[in-house]
Amino acid sequence: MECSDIRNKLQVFLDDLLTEQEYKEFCEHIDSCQKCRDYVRSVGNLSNQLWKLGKVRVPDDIIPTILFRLREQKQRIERIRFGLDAVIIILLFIILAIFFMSDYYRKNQIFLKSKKESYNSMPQQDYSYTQDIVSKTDEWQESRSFEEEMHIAEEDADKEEIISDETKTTLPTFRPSDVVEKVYLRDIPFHWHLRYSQKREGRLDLLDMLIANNIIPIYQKYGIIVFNSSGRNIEGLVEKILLTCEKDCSLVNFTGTVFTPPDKERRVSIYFEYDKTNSLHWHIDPIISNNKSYLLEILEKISVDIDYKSDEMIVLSVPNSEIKKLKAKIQATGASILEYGHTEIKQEDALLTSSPITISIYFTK
Amino acid sequence: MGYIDNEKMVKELFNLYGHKVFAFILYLVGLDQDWAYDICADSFVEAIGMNLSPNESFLTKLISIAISKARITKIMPEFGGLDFLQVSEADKGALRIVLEAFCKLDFETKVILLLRDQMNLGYEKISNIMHKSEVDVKTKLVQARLLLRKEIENIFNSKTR
Repeated sequence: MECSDIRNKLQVFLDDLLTEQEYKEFCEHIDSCQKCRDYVRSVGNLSNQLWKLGKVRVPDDIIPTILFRLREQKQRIERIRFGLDAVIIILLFIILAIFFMSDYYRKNQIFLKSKKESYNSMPQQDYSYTQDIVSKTDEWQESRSFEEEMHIAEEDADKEEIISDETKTTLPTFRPSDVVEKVYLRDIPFHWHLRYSQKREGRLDLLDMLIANNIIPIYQKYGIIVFNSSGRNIEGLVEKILLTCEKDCSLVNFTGTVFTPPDKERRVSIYFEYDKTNSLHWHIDPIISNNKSYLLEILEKISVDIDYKSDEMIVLSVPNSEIKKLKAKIQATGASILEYGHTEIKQEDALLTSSPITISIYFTK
Repeated sequence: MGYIDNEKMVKELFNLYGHKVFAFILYLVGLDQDWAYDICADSFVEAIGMNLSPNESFLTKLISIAISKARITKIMPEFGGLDFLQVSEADKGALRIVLEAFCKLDFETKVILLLRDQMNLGYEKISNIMHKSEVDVKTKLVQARLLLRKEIENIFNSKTR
């Protein structure tokens, strides 16, 4: 049998289909021929041959290499995670900062817009009444425009506002800021009438009470006591006054709606009314500035002596014979007069009819 | 990503599958032991760090990774003394012819022959690894064996002339 025969009969040999004679010759050939023997081995059981290929020598250091590379991978992952965390935190911080800044900006814009709208929606002022206010106080030198008033009010934010019931009715219902209120700033002192039914000495008792409460009168003559006191004390003063004179007096507050902050001083004037008095006390209705100056001129021409003068009160001596004339001139200006007290001229004092009579005039508001 | 920080576990895994996988990779990369070493180590590292799907075994995952890494290597095999083979010298003679013929086959043919005859995997696992049906795997396997046999005959004929 030749080598070519071996190749041709190999599959038949593997299937065990050779005749006995062919099998004998086949085996004798592969025993003598190395190449055919190798060929038969390789092809004869291919699967077995391939399986034998699996028996290889593996390097001893491959396991440590695997462990080392695993540790490297873990460290790389941790570095990436740390970096990602840092980036996320920074992004969150930036987003939060943008959010809060935009929110602050939005709220600030809303606030400014509302302020602007409130200023634009303020109603027009009653300038006639404002002029009236100007005439009554010495502080108002000249009338100002609404814009000037706003500017002054903004500069002097500490000035308090005093609002009476009369002013409240004309004040705008919408008062967004101090700007509107500053226009109505004025000094309005308190003015009370203390009516004594019997005792004339009540005035002395009242003076003692005031001094005991550290109140020093500025003026106290002709049935008038004038003093300064803080708003806080004034509130308690009414009660003390009534307690001082007990049942024999009653207090009428002609400025009951004047508002005084607790720590702000206000002037208080008290006019004493007795059954018999030797002084007159006139309440003159609100007058415009021109008439007030005109009236003051009249008073100064007639009067002999101005004993006390303030923005709302004048105490002066007027000749008895001039009282009626003075009263007529005041009424001629259109102002109305409420008279308190009366003069009592005794027969024996008829020669003294030309002696001056004290008139205290209170310009009501 | 799962991570096994257990040296003992790694050793056990390698003892189970390491030798066969190393041989598998060695024949795919044209008998280059250095390449086989790196690819084997990287394949283990990658397979250990990955999460397995419910029907997936560690071995199939490992082999899939090794195949993808070996595919990109193109090395001309050199047949030396076959010292890496732990077989008798008589077997080495026959295996040399088989190796020469085997190295002439294309990559896919090599894979299927090694998976079936060297790794002794079943048709189901082979189909999972190669992403083919079992019928295709059987068909490919028959064709692969015929191709290998033909290559062996060609080598034998060229040497006997």
